[in-house]
Amino acid sequence: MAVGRRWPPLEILAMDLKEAYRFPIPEILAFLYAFFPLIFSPVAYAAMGLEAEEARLLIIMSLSSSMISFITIILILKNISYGLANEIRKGLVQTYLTYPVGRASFFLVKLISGVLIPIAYIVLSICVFTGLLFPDLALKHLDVFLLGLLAFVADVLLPASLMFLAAIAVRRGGASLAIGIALLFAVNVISSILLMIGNITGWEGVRHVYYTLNPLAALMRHYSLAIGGTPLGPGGGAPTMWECVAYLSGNYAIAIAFYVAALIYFLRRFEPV
Amino acid sequence: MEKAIECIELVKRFKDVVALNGLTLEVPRGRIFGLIGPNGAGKTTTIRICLGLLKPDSGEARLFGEDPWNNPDVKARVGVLHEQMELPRHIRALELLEHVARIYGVPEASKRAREVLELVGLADAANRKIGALSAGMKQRLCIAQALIHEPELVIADEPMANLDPLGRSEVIDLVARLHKDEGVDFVISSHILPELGRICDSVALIHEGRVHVTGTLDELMREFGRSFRVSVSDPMVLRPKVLELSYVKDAYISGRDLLVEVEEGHEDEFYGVVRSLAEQAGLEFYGLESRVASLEDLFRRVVLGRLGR
Repeated sequence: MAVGRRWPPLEILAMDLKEAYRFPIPEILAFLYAFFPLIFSPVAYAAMGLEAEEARLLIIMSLSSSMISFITIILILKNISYGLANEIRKGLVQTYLTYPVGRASFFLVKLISGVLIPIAYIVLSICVFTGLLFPDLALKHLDVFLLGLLAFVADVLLPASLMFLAAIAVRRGGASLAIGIALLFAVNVISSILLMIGNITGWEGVRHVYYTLNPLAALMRHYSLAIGGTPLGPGGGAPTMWECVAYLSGNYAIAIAFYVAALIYFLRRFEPV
Repeated sequence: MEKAIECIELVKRFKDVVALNGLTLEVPRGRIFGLIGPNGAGKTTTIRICLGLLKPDSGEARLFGEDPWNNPDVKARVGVLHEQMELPRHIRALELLEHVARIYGVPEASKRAREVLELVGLADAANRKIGALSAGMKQRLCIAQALIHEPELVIADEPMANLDPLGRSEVIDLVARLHKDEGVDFVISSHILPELGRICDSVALIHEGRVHVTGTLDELMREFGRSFRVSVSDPMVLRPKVLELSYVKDAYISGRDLLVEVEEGHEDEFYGVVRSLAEQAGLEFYGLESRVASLEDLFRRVVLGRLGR
């Protein structure tokens, strides 16, 4: 039969989205991503009392994203840690890889449906919330807004990369889910330990590692954002803007390295049975 | 002549289990090729390596002369039906086929999807979600997705599984018709030997990760010649006596009978002596039936016969 294939992975993506985001999942997500920023909006107005406008913007973004970051992580756990691992175990990934679709393209499809779409939800939610309630502030400090957005995404992207790697290596929904949750806790526990060590010792190296794992904290520290009068982050001076950018880049580099490691494994060794 | 499949000295281990142990196999074009063997023989592993889903520990597999690993172009020429194939559960049968048709670049995907649904007898279930289909209907849908792009070769692992006798017969007829009318080649792995024997023109018998016997059915039947089913009171007693005859190739127990394979040209001689052999051994002789060797005989000889010796 005549072959004039359009990009076949698009069809896999369409099938994957119909499975992962079937009714009523997108409707519930849309509600949650709109609901939580709105219920936090009165608190966001209270932040208008802060002196620095950049700090105000960051706290507004932080308030709008606090619950939805959690929902996004849950969504990624469902899609990747449980969903992808189960699809491998049950043989759906084998079915898809039987079709004339390159492994790299298939990997991209799973990345889009499992990680990038939940991240798009969180970005859209922050943008809509901040844009609707505080458009002038966001536009005036667009650079801070964009950096803040990247920092919020980094908070999700790095743990998601670990979950992705674990899912294709473990291939069992339950075990992969447990590992995903354990990894989330591990990242948070390591951050807390680093914060504690940094505060006690004031070591620069610990500070760099902590801020690389938590670029949002670096950004908030840079703008001297404090909770209860205590500056966020380990002791020592506030990071400069360039340091914040470096921490953010470092965080993305680590996440990308994990995704590349997963891709290389998927291309060279992954056996979907 | 281009080979559909070529496997050279394939070795594949799963932890401590050796699934393939130097398997070598050639499937020429223009055939309905049967892969037979007991459970755990290595048929499915061989198929998965040939589809680029598994990587052999050593050896080489080629599909239409190319390495199948991460090779979409060569996969586009093949239709695949896996054993217990998993499909997305929440989309409709017709929708799935439309997507698969578009993956393969089939023009008028929707029309073709309806055609193959009709072909496999699932037209009435077009709008049912896959998760709601019965096992037999799902199997038919899997057959439909394997045929949707009119492939040059269909690789089917247990295509008759989950089908009732009528369904099996329909699949057999469909395979025969597609091969005859549209020149589609098939590689079929199955346990259901009588049905396989009806359509295959070549077979390979895989056992313990190796190909033990391969060839066209004509060649194999010539080699195995005629066989006899001897009914006596105790076939275990008769078996060693029969094996002493120089022209007897093999003898094995089948139920309460003894199946005996004799070299070509010695059938009459065997016919003449078997009754007296039984009587000399003090056995009651119930009868003798001459039969042409079948795939089951081949299977029994390689898999069971060796154990019986």
